[in-house]
Amino acid sequence: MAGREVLTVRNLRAGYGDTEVLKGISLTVSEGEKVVIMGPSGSGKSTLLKCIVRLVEPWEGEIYLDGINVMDPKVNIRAVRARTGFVFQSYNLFPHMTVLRNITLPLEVVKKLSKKEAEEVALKVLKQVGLEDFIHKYPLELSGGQQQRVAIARALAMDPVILLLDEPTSALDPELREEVLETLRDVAKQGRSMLIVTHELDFAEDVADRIILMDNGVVVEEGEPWEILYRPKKERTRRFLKRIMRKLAEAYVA
Amino acid sequence: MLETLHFIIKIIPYLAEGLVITLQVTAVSFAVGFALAALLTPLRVFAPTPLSVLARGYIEAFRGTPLLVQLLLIYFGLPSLGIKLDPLTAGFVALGLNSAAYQAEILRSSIKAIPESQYLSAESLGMSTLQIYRYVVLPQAVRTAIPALVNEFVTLIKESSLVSIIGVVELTRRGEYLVAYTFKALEVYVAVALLYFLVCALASQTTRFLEKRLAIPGYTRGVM
Amino acid sequence: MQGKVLGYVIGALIVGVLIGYVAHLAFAGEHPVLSRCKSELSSCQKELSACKGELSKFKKSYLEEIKKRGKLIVGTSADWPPFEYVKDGKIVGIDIEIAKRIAKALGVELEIKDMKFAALIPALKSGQIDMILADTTPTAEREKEVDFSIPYYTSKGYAVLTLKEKASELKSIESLYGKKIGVQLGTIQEEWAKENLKGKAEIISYDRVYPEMVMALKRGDIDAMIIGDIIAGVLQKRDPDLALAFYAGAPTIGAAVAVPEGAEDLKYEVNKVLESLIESGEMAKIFEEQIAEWLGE
Repeated sequence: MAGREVLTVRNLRAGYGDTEVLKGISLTVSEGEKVVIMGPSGSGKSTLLKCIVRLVEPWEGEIYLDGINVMDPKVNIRAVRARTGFVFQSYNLFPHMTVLRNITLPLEVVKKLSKKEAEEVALKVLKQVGLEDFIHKYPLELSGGQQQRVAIARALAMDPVILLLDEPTSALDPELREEVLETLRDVAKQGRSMLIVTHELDFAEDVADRIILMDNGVVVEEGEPWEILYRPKKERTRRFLKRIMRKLAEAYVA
Repeated sequence: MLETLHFIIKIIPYLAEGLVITLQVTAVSFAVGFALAALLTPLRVFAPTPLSVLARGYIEAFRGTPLLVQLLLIYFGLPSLGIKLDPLTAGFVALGLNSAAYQAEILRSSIKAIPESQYLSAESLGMSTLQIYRYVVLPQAVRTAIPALVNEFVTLIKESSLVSIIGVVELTRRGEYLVAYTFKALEVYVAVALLYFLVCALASQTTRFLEKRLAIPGYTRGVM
Repeated sequence: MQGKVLGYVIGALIVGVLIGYVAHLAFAGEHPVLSRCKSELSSCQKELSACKGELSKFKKSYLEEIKKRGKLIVGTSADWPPFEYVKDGKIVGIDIEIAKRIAKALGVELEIKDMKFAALIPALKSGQIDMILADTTPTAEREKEVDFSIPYYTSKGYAVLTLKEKASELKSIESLYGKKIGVQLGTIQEEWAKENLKGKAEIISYDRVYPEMVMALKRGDIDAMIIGDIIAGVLQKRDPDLALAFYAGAPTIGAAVAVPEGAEDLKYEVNKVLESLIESGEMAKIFEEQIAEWLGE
């Protein structure tokens, strides 16, 4: 898929303390592209996403977001973050504010919208995820799936250049996962660039333009969904997929 | 027996006037302490090292020395530096500065109780440290801190009795006057203690009231 | 929630009153036989020794207790020169000299206990001290709580002490209106101030006079103070910043030694000592010497 690159990562190395987690990883996301990252736990997928907006400080490497050099020490990192939409595994909504306020707050204080403008945007995105009736509810009154959809709405409200999703359904009960995946499929249809870390094979097959398999801080294999899922070339990929399938099978049987 | 009861009832109004002053001192000192603590806590928790160390020094100094000594220092000692305060103001200042240190520690531990994920979430949206503190952290921390803060308020009610020493005519001092005039030390001090107990018990009850009002809907587990 | 709080309050009141009642009985109770003996004693002082043996079963002999202990404990408030004050870490003064002579007459050692003036009568009543020597004027109120010896001097009663620069404006009681007046807690001067200045001047009661209240005067926390005439006189003589403005109120009968209520034997001995000091002229000498001591520093 040709087009300008909205995200370019080159030779990224990062870690915690003395432990190196990302060992020189590179990837790109083009405009409108949906890229799915998969891999065993500990492979550094989460760290990778966080490094892109420097929520975790990378050790070395290059990161360019929509043309901006994220690794530049003089860059306004908050402005960069405001242009990406991050969705966490544990939704991370602010529990002491209503659903509406969760979305209007960053719009008002970061994007400097007026109260009225913020509310308009918030209502629009909440409608997109189908939660416009919940604007006055508090996050903890909602189910996990609903909370995650609010988180997605919050990320969308910022009109980001790319959506970064870190295992958005992993923390949810299996019954609630489908509603979130449905929402994400709708979002994908809108044409926004997305970088998604997930274990959901069906979803990946539906949505991804490209799948990247990570293990041990490096990219193991990369390709179109049907290639990776049905004709993996590397042994490590095969092993990972087998493990995932087995877990799925167990879930179905149980 | 009846005379004792009659005596105690007779002196209650006189003592109650002192109780008004006590509550005044407590309320102002608590407010001063809270305002100061709201400034100290971010310095202690977020600010770069020199400021953070300064805040920590303040907190340790006021928690590590007796309140009485602080009060005497402010009332009797400061005039040598040209700062002369009347007893009531000196009381506000000493109790306020002291309470600020304790309240700062309370807020600090409440802040520490806020999960990292809240910070990540707010940062990922592009919020600045100040914004995160103001909109995300402090509102949640204050709710968690309510029981401890109410406890500090009750402690202040009792500590306010110390200002009697520098001449503020609050509840305790009125008790001393009464003993000097009537020589009935036991009855008078029992009545004084009763009045303190009353307000302290009432104040403690507000914990439940405040928690209900400020509760986050749906948050049934944990501190609320 | 309301019901629970009310229950709390009532429970606390009941507990408090119960404590007060029990204590009242324990501390203030007097044996019925003793009150009868008291009226007999006051008219039979010469037959004291004869009665003593009979009554010792019922009545507490303060004198015997002191002699058995070998020590006389005198309570005072060492903030009132030249009667009692602290010099080089020791308590000295007119009242101390008198106390020494009383102890000698009883054949026991002397211990001085210092406390704020308002605490003296409660201390005497609770048995912490044997007598009070603190320039204490007998009043009707005080007579209800303790007994007094004969007075050992007479006094002009109430003096208004102020700063030199304010002395000219304070010439009468009316000039004190609207001012801040300092008095010592529990004294007759405080009582006078409450009677004559209540509502017209701000009355501030201090626990200690010297140096506490004097410092407050110099700091400007009060405009003037009402104290005894002799102390006012010596304070102004020694400190040029202070000035005695005027005398207020009527002269009093002076001061006496306070002993526990009903301590007839003790009072008798004390009166004996005081009488001999006054008649021999030694009392006047003590006053002279102690005033000179204070001023000489």
